[in-house]
Amino acid sequence: MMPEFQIACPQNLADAITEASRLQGEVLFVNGGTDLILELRSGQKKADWLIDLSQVPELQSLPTLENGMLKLRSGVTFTRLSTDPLVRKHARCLAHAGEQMGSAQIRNRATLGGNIASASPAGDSLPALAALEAEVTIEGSEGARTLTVAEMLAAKEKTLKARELVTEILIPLAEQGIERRSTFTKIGSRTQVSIARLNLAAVMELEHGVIRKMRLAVGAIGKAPLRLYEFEKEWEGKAVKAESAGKIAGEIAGTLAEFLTKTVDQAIPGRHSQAYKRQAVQALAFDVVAELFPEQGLGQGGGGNGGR
Amino acid sequence: MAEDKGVKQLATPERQAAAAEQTLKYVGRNLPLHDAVAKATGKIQYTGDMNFPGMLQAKILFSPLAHARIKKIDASAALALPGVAAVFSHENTPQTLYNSQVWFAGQEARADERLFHDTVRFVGDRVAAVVATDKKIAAKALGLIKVEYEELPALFDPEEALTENAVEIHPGGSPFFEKEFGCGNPSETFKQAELIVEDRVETPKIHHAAMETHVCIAVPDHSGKITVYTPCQILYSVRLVVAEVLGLPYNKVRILKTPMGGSFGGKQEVTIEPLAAFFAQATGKPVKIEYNRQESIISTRTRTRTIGYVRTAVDQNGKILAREVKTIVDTGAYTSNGAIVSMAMGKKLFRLYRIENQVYRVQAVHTNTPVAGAARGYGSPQIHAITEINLDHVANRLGLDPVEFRLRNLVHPYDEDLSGGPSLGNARIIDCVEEGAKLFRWHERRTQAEAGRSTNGRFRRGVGMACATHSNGYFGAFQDFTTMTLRMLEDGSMILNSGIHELGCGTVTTMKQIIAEVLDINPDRIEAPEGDTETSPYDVGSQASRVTHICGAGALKAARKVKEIFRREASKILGCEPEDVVMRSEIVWSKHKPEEKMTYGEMVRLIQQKNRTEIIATETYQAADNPGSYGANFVEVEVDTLTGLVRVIDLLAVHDVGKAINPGFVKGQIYGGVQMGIGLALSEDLQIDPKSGKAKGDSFARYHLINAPDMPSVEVLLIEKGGDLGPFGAKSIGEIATCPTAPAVVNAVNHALGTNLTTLPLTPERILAALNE
Ligand SMILES: Cc1cc2nc3c(=O)[nH]c(=O)nc-3n(C[C@H](O)[C@H](O)[C@H](O)COP(=O)(O)OP(=O)(O)OC[C@H]3O[C@@H](n4cnc5c(N)ncnc54)[C@H](O)[C@@H]3O)c2cc1C
Repeated sequence: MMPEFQIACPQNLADAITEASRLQGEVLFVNGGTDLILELRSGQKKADWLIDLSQVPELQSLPTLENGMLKLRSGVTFTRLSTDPLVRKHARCLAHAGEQMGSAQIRNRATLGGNIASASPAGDSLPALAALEAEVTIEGSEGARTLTVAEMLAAKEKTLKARELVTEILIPLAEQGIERRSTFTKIGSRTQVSIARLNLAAVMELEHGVIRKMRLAVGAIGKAPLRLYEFEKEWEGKAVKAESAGKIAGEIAGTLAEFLTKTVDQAIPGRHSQAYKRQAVQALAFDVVAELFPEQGLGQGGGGNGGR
Repeated sequence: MAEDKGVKQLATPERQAAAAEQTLKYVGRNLPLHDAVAKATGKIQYTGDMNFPGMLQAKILFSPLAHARIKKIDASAALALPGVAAVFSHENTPQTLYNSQVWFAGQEARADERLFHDTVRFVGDRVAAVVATDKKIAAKALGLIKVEYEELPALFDPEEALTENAVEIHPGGSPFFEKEFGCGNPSETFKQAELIVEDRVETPKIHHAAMETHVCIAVPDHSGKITVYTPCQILYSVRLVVAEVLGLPYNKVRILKTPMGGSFGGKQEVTIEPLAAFFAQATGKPVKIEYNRQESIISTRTRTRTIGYVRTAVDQNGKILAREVKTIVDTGAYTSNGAIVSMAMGKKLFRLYRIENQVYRVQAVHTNTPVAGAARGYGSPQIHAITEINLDHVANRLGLDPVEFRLRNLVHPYDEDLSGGPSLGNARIIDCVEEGAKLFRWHERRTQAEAGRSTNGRFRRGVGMACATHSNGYFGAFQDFTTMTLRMLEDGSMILNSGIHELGCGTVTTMKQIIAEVLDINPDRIEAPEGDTETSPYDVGSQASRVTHICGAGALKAARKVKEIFRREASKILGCEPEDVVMRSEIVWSKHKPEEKMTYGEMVRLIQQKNRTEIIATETYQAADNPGSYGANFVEVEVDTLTGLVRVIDLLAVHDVGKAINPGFVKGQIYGGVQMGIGLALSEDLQIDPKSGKAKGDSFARYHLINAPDMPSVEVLLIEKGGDLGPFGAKSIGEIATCPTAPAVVNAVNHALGTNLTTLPLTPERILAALNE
């Protein structure tokens, strides 16, 4: 049942920040409400005031490119993430996360800012943001600061303080002449409308057939997505020549699958879900690599839940 | 209206019947649900939408513990909260023991429920209730009630319930019900059998997942009468239990069936109505109880968890020589329908295959888990999962194709039930399987799936099927009849007065179509209000897959009687013999004077004026048969061997329904039944924690129904060969629709993987574990 609270509807960012520090009692932000409303109803969260961010234009405007960055506002919806041409071009894994998150109705309301602030271990945007090495701008009455997603999630309680806002998400673009490929995939209990039991995002940058950058983050096996640093290093600098791409892709998939199993074993030893996840996570490896090397036709046989 | 004058032909009964078949005007048509538009446009008033002046809201405090004695309840803080009208618990409510599933007066059943007990027996059992001016206050007050518990040892595993020192949940412990019946001499036959294949199959507790959660309103009046508005399945069951608990005469309890937002058996039993009725009686105010999803999941009814041990003996030719089926039926913390559903399961065993030597043994047990009860199929999905999975195992061991193996053993039309039940009637399961296999391209697909497997890729295809049977009413087990009053009004419109319940299956429209067919009247001109115990004649209720077969026959009988009366009375007006009265498209005339036509309404008025009578008939139809409804599902699946996720690609459902009064409704039932069946096979489970007894699957975030993206394309083939006593030959579909699905899916998965998975649901974890074996 919905408890009682008052609601403030600031019309610009400055007012939102002022309201947040001025209002008395428990003050919470609401954007899409797809997490918060449920938590209020169930009593997990209590609020005297909700500050509705959905009418703050600075948080709702469309993605733009600025200073070598893809700039997203925290109010961007998952539907927008999945369809926006800039996101699809520069941060495809985030667009894929947008497609595979929730249902159409949820995607229409749920925001990236809400997903980051909720910081659920299974949050679908988070591995994508981690793999893209995104930065988050946080603003409050004491000013603004910027953290990487990894920093922010590493210690959520300390970093995003009460009455502080996520305003922007900045994603560095690939450098000139470098081709970025990226994708995201997840495993839930069913094809759609399913919280991830495992999710994985991958970013690969190529320059003249050489892997310049490899970034992967796996979610739902810890509080925050885990970056696969060791694996990334192993592949950076390797050549992917057209003739041998299929073989390399196969090798990447194989080693990634093994690496992921190891990662799961280390992340959740003895957990009930370990037996399942250590094996299922391999599917993510194959799906992701198939998407990174689309010309190799590795996605044969159904492609799993892999980034459609 | 042109009359076919010139045509004069002596008609034989067969020819007449054949002609009638061809010229059916309303039966066999896809008319829409009578309230579909109102539902789709939000205009319908569900119980949750209804309000009464001065109405209070009740919220229930549910037990957080699986088994505990309530030492003390301190409600003083709750009572002090402004807006709280009363707090109820075992201390101030009737001690009457009742059983939630009795549907007729004098029915024997173990009565172990109470509005509130001083002992709680599962997480979700009722501890207390607050009745307040609104829900928020009631919820707040719940948090102020202090309860002291003395925890008792708890029991969650049905097989553990049968062990010697098991926790005693009710006096006498488990099993609280045991039965054995059968035919022939299975134990001797087993001794000589060439091949015996054994399995242990387990089906989970599931939630019905109707869109509308449980809700009802009770309204008291100055005379002490209580009126209950409830989306129920059996009005007279609600009246019985409410009257018993409140100590009221039956005529001081009035039950009104409200629009149904889905039931699937979940609202068949009497769960919240006696609470609301008592609160209304005690406070003198209307009281509404409306559960949220979690409350509906854990504290109403579930499907029984069932463990089956099955042994099947066959000869080399694939003839089933004998079978032994033992089940352990977990009814949860209270008895509910535990005994009856145990029997219902067993009876199906004797109605699908010709098995001359067979025995069924059941033990029903209590556990400290949510209470089981009626659930679409009433035990059939469980027992068919148990036996149909085993039969594929047998076929596999014999090296026989599962379709071929079944065809060698399936029952034939008009076979007898060897355990002594009613005749099977025009049982057309062989047609279902033969025609289904053809349409599905069974052999081709099986072969293809097997060929694809040799490549040992990540995704494996499998093709499976299963058969099932279900009942058509209670004939042969309990009294089954219905009484209906049908009237024609002065404008030719009609009212059917009966105790029907629309559950969303199309009952109201079905009755209209049947009456319309007999009287040649537009179905829109017939009103068929749902039941009201004060004004409707008696009906057994929407249960046992009886409504179309029995109530439909009742409507047919009443319509025929009205037609007879109408023609008799009209003949007096028209000056002819009753046989000469022609009724067509709401126009009536004497065949001798075709130029003198009038509407049915004009005729009714003349009958009132001149004959001083009305066109009304009250007829009782007594069930006289209980044929089997039959169905077979053919399924193709794809299993991801890395994730253990199963995709059902394609499904064909073939059903022997006798005659589809409204094929659209029949298909609707099948689509929904398939959706529930796939859920039972793959994902639905309350997931009771073996330590705390808490249901992990107590919300839709963690209880996974099959949703639209995961639904396969479902093709339906109907076998319509009539031959039994239902209206126009109609048999049931609502329950049988879900019965073959789960085992067909499981068989397909086992085919894909070469496994013998037998514990439902086949979760990704279970599939991977089996692959790793
Ligand atoms: C049916 C359903 C399916 C779902 N499926 C998925 C899924 O597949 N994957 C997934 O990741 N999630 C899923 N979710 C969860 C949810 O939709 C997401 O986490 C969503 O991104 C939350 O965004 P929101 O705008 O609705 O946040 P809200 O509910 O408005 O807010 C969530 C939290 O974030 C805070 N907040 C919101 N915006 C800001 C901001 N700008 N700055 C600071 N704090 C803020 C709020 O105070 C609140 O604590 C699902 C939810 C539902 C109901």
